Amino acid sequence: MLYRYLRRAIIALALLVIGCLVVSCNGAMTTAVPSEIIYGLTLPPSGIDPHINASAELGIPLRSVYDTLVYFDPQTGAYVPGLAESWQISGDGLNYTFVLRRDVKFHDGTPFNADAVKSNISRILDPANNSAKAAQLLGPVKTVQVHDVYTVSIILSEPYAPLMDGLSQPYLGMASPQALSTYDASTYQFHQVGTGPYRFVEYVVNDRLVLERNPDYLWGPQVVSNLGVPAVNRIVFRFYPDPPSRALALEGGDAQIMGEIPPADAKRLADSGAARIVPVPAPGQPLQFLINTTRKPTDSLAVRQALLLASDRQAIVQAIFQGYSPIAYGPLASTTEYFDPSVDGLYAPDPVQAVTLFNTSGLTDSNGDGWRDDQGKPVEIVLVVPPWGMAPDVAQLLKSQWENVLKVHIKIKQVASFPMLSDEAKAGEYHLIALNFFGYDPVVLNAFYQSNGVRNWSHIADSALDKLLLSGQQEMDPARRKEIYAQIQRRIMDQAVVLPIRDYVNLNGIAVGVEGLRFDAQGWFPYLTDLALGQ
Amino acid sequence: MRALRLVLRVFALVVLLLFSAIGPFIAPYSPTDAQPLKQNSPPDSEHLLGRDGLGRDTWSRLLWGAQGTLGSAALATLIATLGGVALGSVAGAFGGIVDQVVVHTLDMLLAIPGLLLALLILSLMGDGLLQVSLSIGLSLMPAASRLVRATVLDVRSRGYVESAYALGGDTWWVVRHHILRNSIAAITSYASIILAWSILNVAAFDFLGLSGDLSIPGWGRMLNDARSYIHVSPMAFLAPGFAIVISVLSITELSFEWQKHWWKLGQ
Amino acid sequence: MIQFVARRLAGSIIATIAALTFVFVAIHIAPGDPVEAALSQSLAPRAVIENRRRALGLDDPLWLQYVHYVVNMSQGNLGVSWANDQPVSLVVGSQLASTGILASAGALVALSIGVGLGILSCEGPLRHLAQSVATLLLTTPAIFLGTILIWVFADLLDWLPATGQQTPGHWILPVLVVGLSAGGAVAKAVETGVSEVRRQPFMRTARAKGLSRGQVTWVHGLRVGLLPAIELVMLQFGYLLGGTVITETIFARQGVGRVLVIAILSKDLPVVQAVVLLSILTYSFLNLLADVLRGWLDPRIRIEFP
Repeated sequence: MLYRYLRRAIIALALLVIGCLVVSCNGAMTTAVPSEIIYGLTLPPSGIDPHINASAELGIPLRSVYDTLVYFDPQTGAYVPGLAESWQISGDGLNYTFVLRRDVKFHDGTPFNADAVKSNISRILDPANNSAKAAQLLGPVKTVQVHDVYTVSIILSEPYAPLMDGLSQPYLGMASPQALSTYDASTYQFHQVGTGPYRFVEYVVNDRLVLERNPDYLWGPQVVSNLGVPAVNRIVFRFYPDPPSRALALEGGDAQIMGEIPPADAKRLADSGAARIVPVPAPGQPLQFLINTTRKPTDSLAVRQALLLASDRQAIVQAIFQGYSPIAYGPLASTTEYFDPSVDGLYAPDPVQAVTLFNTSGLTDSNGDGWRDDQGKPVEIVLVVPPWGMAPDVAQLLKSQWENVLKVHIKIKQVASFPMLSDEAKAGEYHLIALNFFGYDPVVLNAFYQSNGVRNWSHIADSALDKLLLSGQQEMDPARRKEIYAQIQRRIMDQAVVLPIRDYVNLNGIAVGVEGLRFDAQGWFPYLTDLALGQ
Repeated sequence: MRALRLVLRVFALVVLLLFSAIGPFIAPYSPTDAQPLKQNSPPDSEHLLGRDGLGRDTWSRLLWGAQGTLGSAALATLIATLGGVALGSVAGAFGGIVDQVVVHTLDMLLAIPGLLLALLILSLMGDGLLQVSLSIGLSLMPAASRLVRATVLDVRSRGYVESAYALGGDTWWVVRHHILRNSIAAITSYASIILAWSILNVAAFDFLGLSGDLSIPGWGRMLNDARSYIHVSPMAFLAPGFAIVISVLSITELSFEWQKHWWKLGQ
Repeated sequence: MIQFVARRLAGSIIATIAALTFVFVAIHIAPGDPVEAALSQSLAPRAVIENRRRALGLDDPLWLQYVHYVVNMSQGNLGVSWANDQPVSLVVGSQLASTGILASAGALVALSIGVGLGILSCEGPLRHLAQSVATLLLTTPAIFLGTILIWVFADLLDWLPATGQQTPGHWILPVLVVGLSAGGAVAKAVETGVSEVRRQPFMRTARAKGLSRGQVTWVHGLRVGLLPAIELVMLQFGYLLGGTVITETIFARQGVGRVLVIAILSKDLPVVQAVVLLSILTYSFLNLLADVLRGWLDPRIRIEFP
C-alpha cells in the first residue's frame, strides 16, 4: 500500500515533467513573433521618466523613443542636426537659437514645433517636478523664447559649455506637450510620447518595457545609418539583476541582446562563439575610489600617494576584468571629452617608493608585530564599497596588495544599496569610498571635486581647483577648455585624492543573427534604429 | 551497524567543531591573500582545492569560513530555540489569555516572511557577524515558538498531564516535569530544522551582500563569488557548498539520533 | 464556529496593525535616506533632495507621518513607491501571480516529496536511504542546489531553460529548487510525527482491535502524523514567499521577494508595507486553514475545538 501511493505519485510527477518538456521544446522550435528582439537590462530601481528620473538604464530604451535637438558625432567631434536643423550660439555663450525641422510629428500625431520645446523645458525646470538629472543638464537657464513656429531660443544666466552635450542626451528628449498635459508627473512615465523611430507601447513595472517601430519616421540624424523606419518591428526590454543570469539568458535564447555581461562570462562567450561581444567604453569617470583627506592616516598626501603606488592595477584589470578595460590613471576615462593623456602612467606601481613614502608619515611598526601602528594602536584603513561595478572584488585585491606591501590592516565594508552608501559617506568613517558618474562632458568632475560639490566625498577643499572647475564649465572656446581640463586632471592627481582603477567598458552580448548595434557618444545608449535581424 | 553510523556522525561533528575552532590556525595560506595571476587554478599539491576567481586558496578560505558561517548559524539557532521554548511552552502550558496574547504577537511577526523579517531587524542593528546572528535568530524565534506550542498542546492533551493536574500539581511543575520532558524529543528535532534554516539564511545574507565586513570569508559568500567562475573553476563553488551540506548533515543526523535515544529513555 | 472565526479575525486585525507599525518604525529608524534610493546616478543639488523629502512627507514629525500612514492604509490607499513614483499596487501586483504560483507549486512539490520521503523513512528497506535523502535536501542551500541544477540541466545537458518564465518548461527548475529545498524539512516533520504517533496508546489499541499494520499506519497514524507536517508547510509558506527571493534571482524571474528585498534596502516604505500586508492576509488565511485541518485530522483536539 505504501509503495502503491508512491508509485502513483512518481508517475504523475514524471508525466508532468515530460509534458512540460514537450511544451517547452515546441515553444523553442517555433520562433517568436517575427522581427522582435529581446534586449536584456539590469533592473532600474527608479522611475523611467527621462525628464525627472536619473538612471542610465532608462536612457537605453528611451534613446529611440525621443529625438533630441542635436546629436554628437564622436568621429568628427561635432554636433549634427537632430530636431534642430541649425543653430546659433551668441559670442557671450548666453543665447542659443535653434531653427527646428518642419516635418516632424509626435507619435500621437501632434506637430513638433518651438512651443513644444518651450513646454518640455518648462516641465523640466518646474521645481515641483524635482528633476534629478535633466534640469542639471540644462544648467543655468534663465528663459526660453519662442520667436516663431519653428525658431526658439534658450537664454542662460551665465555661460554653460556643457549645454549642447546635455541637449544631445535622451534626458532632454522632446515629448509631446499634449501627452505631458494629459498625464501628471508620476503617471506620464507609463504613457510616453516622443518623435523617435520607436514608439512607447507599455511598461510593466519590473517585468518589461515594450517598443514598437514608428512607421512615419523620416527624420533620423546623420549619426545613424538608417534615417527612416527601423527594420525590427518590436523590441522588448527585460530585466536581469543577477549578473550570472545574463550570459545564461543570452545562451538560452531568452534574449538576443544583453548589456553588462560580467567579464568572465563575456570571455567565455567570445571564446566559444556562442555570442558576439561588443565592448563599448563609457566616458565619464572610471571605477574609482575617492580618498578621504580629512581622516587619519589618509589626510597625509604621502600616505595617499603610497596607496596609489602600492596598487597593482594591471593585475586587477587582468584578473577581474579579463583585460576588457584599460587601466585608468586619472579622474576621467580616456573616452571622455578633453581627457588628458599626460596622466597615463601616473603612479605606476612602485612598491619600494610606496613604503618609503608611507614611512615619512611617521606610522611605522613600533611594537614589532609586523603591522604598522600609531602609538601602539594598529593602523587600519577602511574601504567602503557598493555591490555594483565589481567594486567588492577590486577592493579585495587591493586589500591583499596593500597588506602585503604596506603592512597596514585593511577593512572592507560592503553596503547593499545607494542610500546605505550615501549614509556611510555622511558618517565619514571611511578612508576610501567607491563612486563614479558617467557623461561625455568633463563637467561631471564638478560635483566630485568642488569644495561644495554634492559628491565631494574626498572632502577636498582647493580653491584654485574650484576656480578651474568653474571656468571649465563656463569656457566656450574648445581649445581653452581643453587646456583648463588638462590642468584640472593633473591637479587632482597631484593631490592624490582619487584612486582610479579602470575605464568602464559595457560588455554587450549579441546573439548570432543580430546586426547593427551601435551606441551613442555617451556609451550607454544604443541607436536601436540600425538594428536588423540578418538571415 | 547503528553504532558505526553513530560513531561516524559524532566523528564528523567533532571534526567540524575542530575546524571551526582551530581552522584559522591550520590554514596554510591567508584567506585574503590574492594572487590574481593564478586565478582559478585547479587543485594541486600546494593548493588542495585550487584557487578561486581572485587567486585565493580555497581550502584556507573554507577553514576560515567555518567560524563565520557555522558559528553565526549556531548562535542564531540558540537564540531561536531558547526563545521559542520559553514562549511556546508558556503559551501552551498556561493557555487562556496568555496563550492568546502570545499567539497573536507571534502571528504578527510570522506574517512577515522570515528572511525579510531578518532583513528588517538587521537594518536596525547595522552590520557585523553578531548582528546577522541576532537578526536571523530573532526572525526564526516566532516559528520555533509556534512549533513548540503545537507540541506542548499535543502533549497536554495526553492523559497523564490531566492526571498530573488532578493530583494537584501546579502549572509550573507540570510544565517542567511532564511537558518539557516529553517535548524535548520534538524540540530537538525542530532545533535541527532551525539550524538548517539559519545556515540557509546566513548564506542568503552573504549572497545578497548583506554581511558587511568582507574580511571574514563566509561560505555563502564564497558560493556567490564562485558562481561567475563556475565554468573554469567548479571546485571553488562545490567546496563551500559541500562544506555547508556536510556540516549541517552531520549535525542534523546526530540530533535525530539523539532524539530517538531520548525517546527510548522516555518510555 | 462563527465565534471562532470572529475571534480569529479580530486577532488578525490586531496582528496586522502591530506588524505594520513594526515595519514603519523599522524603516524609519534604520540608517539610509529613502530619497537617495533613486539618486545614485544623479548629481542633483541639495535643494532638489530637500524638495523631494518634503513632497513625500518625510520632513513631518514621526507621529504625523504615522497618522497619515494609518489613515492611508485604512482607506486601502497603498500609495506610490518612494523610489520610483510608481503606484504600489502596480509594483507589487505585477509580481503576485509569479511568486504565488512559484510558492504554491513549490509547496505542492514539497508536500509530495516530503510526505513520500517521510513515510519511507519510517519503515521498510529504504528507510535509511530515505532519511539520508531527506536530510540532504534539508541541508542544501537553494543557491547551491539551484546553481548546480542550472549548470547540469541548462549548461551541460541543454535540456531545460535557465532564465525567464515564458513557457511552462521555464518553471520546472525553479519549482524543483523551491520544492526540494522545502521538502526536506517536511519529510523530517512527517517522519517525526508518524513515528511518534505509532508509539501512541491509541495506535496499539487499534492494532489490538485487529486492524492490519498498514491500516493502522495509514488511516490513523497518518492523519495525526501529518499534523506537524501541515504546521510546517504553513510556516514554510510564509517562509517560501521570502525564500523564493533566491530562486527568483538566480533564474531571473519576476517575483515579490525580489521587489521586497530591494524595497527594504532602498527604504521604500510603501512597497514594504504593501507586501507585508499581503503576507499577513495570506498567512492569516493559511493559519485558519491549518487550524481547521488540525481539528479535522486529530480527533483528540476536536474536543477543544469550539
